[in-house]
Amino acid sequence: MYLLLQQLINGLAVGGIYALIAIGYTMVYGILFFVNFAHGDIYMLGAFCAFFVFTFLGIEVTGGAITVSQFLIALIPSMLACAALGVVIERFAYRPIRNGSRLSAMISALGASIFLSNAATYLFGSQTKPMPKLFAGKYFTVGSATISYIQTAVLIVSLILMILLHIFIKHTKLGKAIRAVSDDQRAAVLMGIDMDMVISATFAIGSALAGAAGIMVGVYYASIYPTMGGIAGIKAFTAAILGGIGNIPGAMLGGILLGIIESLGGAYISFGYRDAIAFVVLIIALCAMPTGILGKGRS
Amino acid sequence: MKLSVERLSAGYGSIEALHDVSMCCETGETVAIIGGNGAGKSTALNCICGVVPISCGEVCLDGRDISDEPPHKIARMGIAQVPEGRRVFPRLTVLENLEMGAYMIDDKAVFRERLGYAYDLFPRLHERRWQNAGDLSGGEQQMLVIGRALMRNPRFLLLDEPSLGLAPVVVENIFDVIAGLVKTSEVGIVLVEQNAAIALSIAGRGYVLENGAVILDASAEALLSDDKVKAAYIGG
Repeated sequence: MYLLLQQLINGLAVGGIYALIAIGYTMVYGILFFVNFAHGDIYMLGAFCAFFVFTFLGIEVTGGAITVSQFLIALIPSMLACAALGVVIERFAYRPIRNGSRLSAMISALGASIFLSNAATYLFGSQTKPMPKLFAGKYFTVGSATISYIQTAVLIVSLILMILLHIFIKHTKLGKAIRAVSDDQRAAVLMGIDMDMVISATFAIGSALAGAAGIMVGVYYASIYPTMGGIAGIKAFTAAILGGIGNIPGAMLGGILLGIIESLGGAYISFGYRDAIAFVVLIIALCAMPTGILGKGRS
Repeated sequence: MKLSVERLSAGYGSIEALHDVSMCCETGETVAIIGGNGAGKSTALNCICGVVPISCGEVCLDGRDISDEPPHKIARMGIAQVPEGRRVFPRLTVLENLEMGAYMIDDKAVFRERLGYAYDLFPRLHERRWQNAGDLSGGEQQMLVIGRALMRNPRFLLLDEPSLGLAPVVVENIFDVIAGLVKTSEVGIVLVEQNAAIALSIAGRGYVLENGAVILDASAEALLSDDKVKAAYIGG
């Protein structure tokens, strides 16, 4: 029973991270119908941004600890930097070929991804970098389940960001414009909605959320490396598909579910097959619901 | 104000959809463009709105060539197209669809006034305001897209086949509203229709397009009594 509770908590924390990254995949897909493969690398750069903020602040990164306010001080500029990076990538890698085939966009996305992870390796070195810990070693217990403060913090920050995104998309003019463009681009343009601006905003928001995920993973596992975006990106993409690609609540749900499934599978079946279990679940789910949990088929 | 296309040609790939077409519409008048399938009627509207590139000629608003402007800027100049096939934002509510119509209106008071105007024209939209537009009937969706286009108080309203796929009683209802607009507002209406009889019943003038070219240009009465028009488009 406590093992189950423990794994649910672990799964929720990891799932919150997947959800944050998945939102960026799904938002871009919802508007441009292609997969932004560079998204995982933006997540990685978010983590590195935080690393440099911590170094700049004179925080001991190796085995060091940070306070909540130091975490927030790193979170904000890293999210902003990732937002800017997302906009720049769209401007130079995707916009010039927007009217081309989707295959060209996909190839350009793969190129952007390879470029970013190699640039990071070149600039920062390929070795793993240490990150300071948030709430190092602190935990509370529920029965025999131990719930660390950092897990709770990751979950809370993820939830807050998702709620803010939900409010933004649901109630602001720009949020509604993003949904309108995702529903019908031609009709949206005829309303006077500036497509380029909406697309830039979409990339900025998705990238900022990925950046936040990167920092949280950094302080959760206390280590970062230039290729960390690869597997995390694929998992989050899986989560977006599971929830129904193009659908924002679907990405949130898919991320959380994937985290929980992975964590339960790792505990009850085999830790080594954790990743395989996640993908088996995806394949089964897609056989039963080809458009994902909340996705609707497009006509 | 005057919206005109001068010697306009446009096409898709090597297929020329419009050839040397000149037409105009002034605010306060209603102009019908009639013609069969593939005559180039929708292409003409899409060229005006900048969503289909033109190969030569000009689109002018008060004598100024606007054909190089991006479509969202043309929309902001007061040209509102109601596209063929309705094209509501299906996953947005009726109210949100109307808000998108007023996308460039920042003044809350103006917005509320326009919203009241749209609800007065189509009370059904008010009843359905919290529903997703995708769940409306075809007639309600047509009301919504016309209301949505009027939200920003356009100077020119370009209607593309508003009767398409609707029951006759709904068509009548919609055309009553359009006829009301003709009488009560200063908006210039360009009405593209396959249903020539109903279009010419509310328009002052009309153009007949065939194979991408204007073959007739006359007053609505003259067109209604023209034998060729009768035979080809009215079925009498």
